[in-house]
Amino acid sequence: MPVHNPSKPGRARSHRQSQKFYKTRRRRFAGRAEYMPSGLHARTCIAAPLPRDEFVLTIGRIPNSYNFPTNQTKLERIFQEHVDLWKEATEHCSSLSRMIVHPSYRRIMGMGPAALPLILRELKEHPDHWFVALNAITGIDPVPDKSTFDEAVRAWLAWGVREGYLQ
Amino acid sequence: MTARDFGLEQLCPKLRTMPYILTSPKDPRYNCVAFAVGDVTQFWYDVSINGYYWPPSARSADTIEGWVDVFEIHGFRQTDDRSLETEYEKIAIYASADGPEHVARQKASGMWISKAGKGRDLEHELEALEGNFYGKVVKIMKRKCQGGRRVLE
Repeated sequence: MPVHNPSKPGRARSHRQSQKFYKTRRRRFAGRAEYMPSGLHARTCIAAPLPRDEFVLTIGRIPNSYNFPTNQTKLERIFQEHVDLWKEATEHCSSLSRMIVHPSYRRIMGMGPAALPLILRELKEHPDHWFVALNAITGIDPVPDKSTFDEAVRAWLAWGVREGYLQ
Repeated sequence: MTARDFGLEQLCPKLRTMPYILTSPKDPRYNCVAFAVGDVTQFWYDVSINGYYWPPSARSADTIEGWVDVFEIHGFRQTDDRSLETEYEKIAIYASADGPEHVARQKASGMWISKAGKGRDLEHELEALEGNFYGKVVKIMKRKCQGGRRVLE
């Protein structure tokens, strides 16, 4: 059955062609995404359904378009630079809103799933207000209602271990 | 613990010339609002994720009204008198053009004590934290000591 291809208006692919198209995309994305931890890579790229070209193309384009770090060491260095900047700039802030709109915090959130292991490690070693970033990246909140700060840290770390982001 | 917080002095230059005492290490677990009501386990802020606390009936944490609500819930009422009245506990809310920035509570000695964001607790003069960073004191609130005793020292 022909499938509409949004990148080529007016043309349609057969189901077989479509399968081949997505398989190629996955391979291409897998090759580009070396900055991503392997566990995450498997979840988002292989196991997750790929319903639309849009999804694959958007994710696949990020590294080149936005000069994302292309290896883990560089990512860690940039992450740490932003962490240091953010901590210094927001140490005396009482407002969470101010903290999370700081450019370095936003930049870390913008690193997306690739930053998860780094954020969780940072949270483990130097607890701080990473809950918003973790929630923004993952879309979940594993922290039970009425938790204290320490309980929230423990809940996120437990989630990180369970999901394979932390040892 | 060092005797001075140079980072805070940079933000609040009056601290360079006015006495202050650091009374705790840095701690991101609680903020000035929590500290002012005696809670050192939670960061008080209204955000729609768990791990934070804000009284459900209080207005937004980004508004002075929201902060006033919090302290009204704890029995404080607004006043203009920032002097020491031994039978009252007092808190002072600092605000800038962007909204509420900080809150301090008065000790029995007349000095004020507060938590500087995720940083340290410190005892200070009320005016010492006024400036570009925390703004100015815009609200003073007080509550009667219970049975002649302060709930918080």
